[in-house]
Amino acid sequence: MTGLGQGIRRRVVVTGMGTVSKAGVGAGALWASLLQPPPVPFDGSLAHLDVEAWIPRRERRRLDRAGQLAVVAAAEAWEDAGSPTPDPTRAAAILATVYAASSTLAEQEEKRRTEGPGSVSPLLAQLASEDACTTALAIRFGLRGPSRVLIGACAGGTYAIGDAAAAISRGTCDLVLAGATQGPIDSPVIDAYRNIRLLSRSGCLRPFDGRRDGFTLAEGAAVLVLESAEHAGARGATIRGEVLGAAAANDADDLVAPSGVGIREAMQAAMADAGLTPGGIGLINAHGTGTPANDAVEGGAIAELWGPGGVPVTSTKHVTGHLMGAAGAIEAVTSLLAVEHRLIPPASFDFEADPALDVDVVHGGPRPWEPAPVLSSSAGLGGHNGTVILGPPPG
Amino acid sequence: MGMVGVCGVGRDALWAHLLDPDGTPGDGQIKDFDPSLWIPRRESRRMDRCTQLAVVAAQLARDDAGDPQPETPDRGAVAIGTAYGGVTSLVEHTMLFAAEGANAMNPTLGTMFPVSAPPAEVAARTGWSGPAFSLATACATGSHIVGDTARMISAGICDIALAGGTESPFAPPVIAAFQKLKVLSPTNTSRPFDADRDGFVIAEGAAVLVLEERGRALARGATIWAEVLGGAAGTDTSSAYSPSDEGEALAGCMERALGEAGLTGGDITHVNAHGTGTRANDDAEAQAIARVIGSDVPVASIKGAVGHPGGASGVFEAAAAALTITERLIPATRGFRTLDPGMQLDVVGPEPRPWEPGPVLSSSLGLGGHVACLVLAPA
Repeated sequence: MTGLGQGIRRRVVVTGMGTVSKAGVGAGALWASLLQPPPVPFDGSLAHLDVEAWIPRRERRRLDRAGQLAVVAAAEAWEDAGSPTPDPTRAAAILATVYAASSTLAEQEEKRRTEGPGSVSPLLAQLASEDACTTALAIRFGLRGPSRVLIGACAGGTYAIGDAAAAISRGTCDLVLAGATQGPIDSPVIDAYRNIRLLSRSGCLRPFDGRRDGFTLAEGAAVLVLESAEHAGARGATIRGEVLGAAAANDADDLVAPSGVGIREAMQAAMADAGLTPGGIGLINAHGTGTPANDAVEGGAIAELWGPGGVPVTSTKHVTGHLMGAAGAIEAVTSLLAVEHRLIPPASFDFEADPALDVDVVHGGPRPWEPAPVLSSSAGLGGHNGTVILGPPPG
Repeated sequence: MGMVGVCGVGRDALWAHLLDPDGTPGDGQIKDFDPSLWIPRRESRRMDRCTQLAVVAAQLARDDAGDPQPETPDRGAVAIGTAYGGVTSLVEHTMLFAAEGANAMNPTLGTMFPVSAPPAEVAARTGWSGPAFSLATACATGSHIVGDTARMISAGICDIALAGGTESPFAPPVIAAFQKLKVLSPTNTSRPFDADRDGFVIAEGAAVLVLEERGRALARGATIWAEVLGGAAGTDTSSAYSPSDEGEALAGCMERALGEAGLTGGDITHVNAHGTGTRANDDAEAQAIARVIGSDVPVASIKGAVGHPGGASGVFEAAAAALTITERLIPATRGFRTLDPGMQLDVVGPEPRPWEPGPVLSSSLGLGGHVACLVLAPA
């Protein structure tokens, strides 16, 4: 996983993208949402999303919300990629998630206590394992290769994309549905976060802002169709971008407070994997959760590697909310949308700089740019850090 | 290698348990395990039991290997997979929340629940700052993560890695769901490939292997238990709940693992099977083995002795395969009496079998259609 590695390497391109988020279904709706101020306070629940158009009732029963959102995002991505027909044994779904089964477990435990063990659904044996979402995609799209779920807390989405790219680059797969899904947020897990004071009291996520007070949580999913350049070329697919490199690093220190060491190491290792130096990066799509600690150490790592104001920095979490395990996946999509539209979406429409941070935060409105490699950074509890570098379609 | 399971603590305990004619998984729960021997209480309080087991297994593995270190901390990786992760704590706290509200919650839950907690806790103890992650493919997790981690070393991403699996599945709704699925043995006896098999014994456990780049291990004079020659994973898309493709997905996975190892089915000298003792698993697996490896290769399953520790099972099996190679002896398949008449297999049992070590294939299957295989060989 994470890091395409040395030796034989095949180029990995992106040929489709699908998302489901507070903005709605599809990358078009997501892009439109990034260009205007988000509602305050932000409510990231998708409990009322109607998925009937994508998943018939009979199949829906067998999936929890994380699985349903993954299917919707993957169906969009698959169609966007022109409904490819890969060799089934060389195609897989590699996703990330975290706490996917928390609400289903709570429901089933409630049933068990009130109605007895015989009332528990046998499906729970499968749904309680984090990988249930990959099975839904494998069956739907006929993918018989090495599907799996990668977990690295809130860096997981980025790990999954790096891992999927590595599986293609090293020749195990030709095509991978790569991404992540997150849901539901109406569970005691949320109160655990409230207790460690990471959630915003104002209901407004402000990346790198002097007034930042934490993040707002959101459900959602994002899936990218990754293919080897040969495979995409042979079927005449439209190429939306390229995965240039990836890496993961762990702080190997405190489990809650980030040290900044792992963020920097992941960025450096991903650039080495991509064969790039900091000067080759045109934009950083930061984790930017808006917690005092994350943005301080992430801003510090960026200033250290690029120099004060040395590279434009954005974060799209103020609009999407923090999709936890799926954050890195939806941010890979927002990175490629910035490339496609030649516009950097802002990290804030109403920005007050934090004087302690020496970073060029894109704010006020979108900023035109000449597309170049985008470095997308993720970090999570447990000291997990992931970076993926996405480039414009190969010339 | 290091492990904690119904077999006890450590490599010697596992091997002794595999050779003990009376060695059974009991009720699958680990008795007399005191994490405070390894983990200070203030730290173990923030961990689900699956994390405690993983931390101990990782420590035992590092000790067993002579505490090797990567060239630089960022060249060390920690990969610990699990199917159900902190499910027991999650269910407990969910109910606590319902009964008593947010203030009753342990403030460290954010680090306790995620399935990535075991690798995070292990990484913090090693001080290795390379990739640390978890992977889930249900009961195929263990074989899958060992193969993927070995590939990270061969691709040059790290020098050394802890590759393991952990499971502590005794959350009441999860056990109830397994019972409804009719995969647990009502007699609490796992009988792999037996005519009278009736399911598996779900178990707790964690096992961790130290994987190193071969040249480095040789240079430091390490004891090498086995070499990872290849691995592969795949998906049976015919059903999410029971293998129902006559072993086709597993057979394809075996062939791809052999391909990565540069071997053919005829080169395999022993199969360490998943062999859960359910009707469907053993049927599918027997067909795949007969088709790809042949009917005259000794096949054994350790599940009759150690039970089925879910996402950790493939790592226990890789460890058992490595010990089988070193000891030149294939432990008997505990619980096995009479071969299912529908199968053409050479199942080892009731006595262990002396054997000339050669390449071993270890296979795993899981709910959700996941399959994974490893090829291990004498170094």
